[in-house]
Amino acid sequence: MGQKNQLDDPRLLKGKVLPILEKIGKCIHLISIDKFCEDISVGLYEKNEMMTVWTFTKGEKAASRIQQIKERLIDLGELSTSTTDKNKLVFECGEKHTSLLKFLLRLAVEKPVEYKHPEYPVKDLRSNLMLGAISQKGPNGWEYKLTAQGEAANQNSRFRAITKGLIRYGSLEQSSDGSMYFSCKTRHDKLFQMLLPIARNVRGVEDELEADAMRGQMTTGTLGFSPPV
Amino acid sequence: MTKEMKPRDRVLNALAGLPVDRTPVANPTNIATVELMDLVGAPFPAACQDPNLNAELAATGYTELGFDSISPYFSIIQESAALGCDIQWEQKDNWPTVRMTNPIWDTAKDVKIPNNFLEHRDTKAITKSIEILKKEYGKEAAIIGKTMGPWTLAYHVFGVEKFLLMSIDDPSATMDCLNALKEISVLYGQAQIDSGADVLTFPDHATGDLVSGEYYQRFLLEIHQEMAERLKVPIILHICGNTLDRLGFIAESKMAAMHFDSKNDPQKAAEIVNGKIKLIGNINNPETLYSKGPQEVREEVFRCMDAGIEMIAPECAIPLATKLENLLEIPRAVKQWELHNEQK
Repeated sequence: MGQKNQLDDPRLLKGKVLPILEKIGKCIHLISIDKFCEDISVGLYEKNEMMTVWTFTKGEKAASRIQQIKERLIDLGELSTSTTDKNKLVFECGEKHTSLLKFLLRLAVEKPVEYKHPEYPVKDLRSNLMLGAISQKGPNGWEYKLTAQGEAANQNSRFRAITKGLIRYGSLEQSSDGSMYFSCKTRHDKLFQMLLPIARNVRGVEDELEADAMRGQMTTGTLGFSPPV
Repeated sequence: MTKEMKPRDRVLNALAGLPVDRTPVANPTNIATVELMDLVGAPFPAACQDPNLNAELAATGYTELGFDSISPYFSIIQESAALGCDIQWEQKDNWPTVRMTNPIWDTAKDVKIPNNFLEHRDTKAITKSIEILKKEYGKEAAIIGKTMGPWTLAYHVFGVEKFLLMSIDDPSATMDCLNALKEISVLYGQAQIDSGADVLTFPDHATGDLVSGEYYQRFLLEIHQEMAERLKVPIILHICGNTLDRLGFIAESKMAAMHFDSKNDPQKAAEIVNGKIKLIGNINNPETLYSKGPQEVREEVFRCMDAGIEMIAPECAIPLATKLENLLEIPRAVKQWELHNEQK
């Protein structure tokens, strides 16, 4: 950090952004508009494995909304308030679980406060299966196994696709018997419950992520200067 | 090493080919983000319409991110709004655009600049903002205005497809349109100079994926040379996309600099222009600044500096949800490169 400060223009130290980022760290995910609070932007920042929910908007409304989002993250993602700083959140397992935080923050900001993760079983989108999971201790710590009610000719391929989705969006790992576990090997039932509906719809999620990424980009395409298709 | 310069002098010297203490970091287009909008309470689209909000937001590039310049014209639609084009203003997180499916004109004869063009809310937002910024930061930071070139204006007022077809079917009518529209570029550019702009960006979207290098020479080179003569501040030409096939012509445009896209290799670009025009750029927006982290930003800055790019900048208007740490890394990386090379 010492060399960084040396490289920063002295005028930035008088500003607001640099001193704040020094405290809250790097942005893991940013939501541009919070429709439940005056269109403020909400970012999830991380430093030393501790997360801060942050907005640059000033005022009491924004501050109380940030508090509410923190509570939603605790509720939906089983995060905890840090014992050393009550403004920061941590996973008790000590890991960051960065890849799934994007989805967790979206739910905390974009869904109404009464939102809960769908209870098992959840309907698969490409078969008639009703999906669920059982969790139990195994050789890789706390393991999750997909379950299905009903019958479908494509059950095996659906399980493979959903497993890939869980690995992609939750960074879960897979053991030789097909069970899955979080890299921290600890129990995260609510996170698995959040990830399962996402993992069953990889194509839809990818489209959504791509649309999100394109919004606010100035390109010849978004300006309408691309060749007619 | 030259003694430490003021950011404004650094930018102006670099554009003039004079010595600088270090490579400047500039923003010929936009570097505002949704978080900076929140910081100063100046969200889009209001910040594109109200001069005070506009100036507040524009200044953050200098005060909060450490760039050497301030650019208050964030979008590309201010003139077209004043001409009467149908504008989709969007929300805070997206760019206002012209609805080009509803063109306002058909031929060069239709091109008429409204009497109140410079008094329109959306043109005045920028000129008035430049006055505010000049007063507050004019001695320290380079104020970069922006006036759209006739090719871009043509897309807006005639529609993209119609104008491109016209350029194939009737080159003479196309030239008439461009010659009529260039007067808007001059009028608005001059208004910004009168308000205090030190430099003008001149976006003219004869982009690599729509028109050829030969088109640039045929339709735009002379007009750009004329603009460089009539607008008496350094002008930065901005064209998106792959432009290596026209860089040789652009180097003859008499403009001070070319703001170029990350689709072009900086080393190749520098070889083509061979010092005839300064190069500004070309940090990638969608992949690097938006999606990656400071380490990758630093690598791209170093690549540009190794190629001798005269001014470092994002390739185009940055995505509005760009992470601030990535923007802060640009000036930091420039200084790091300079320190490293000084020690060699």
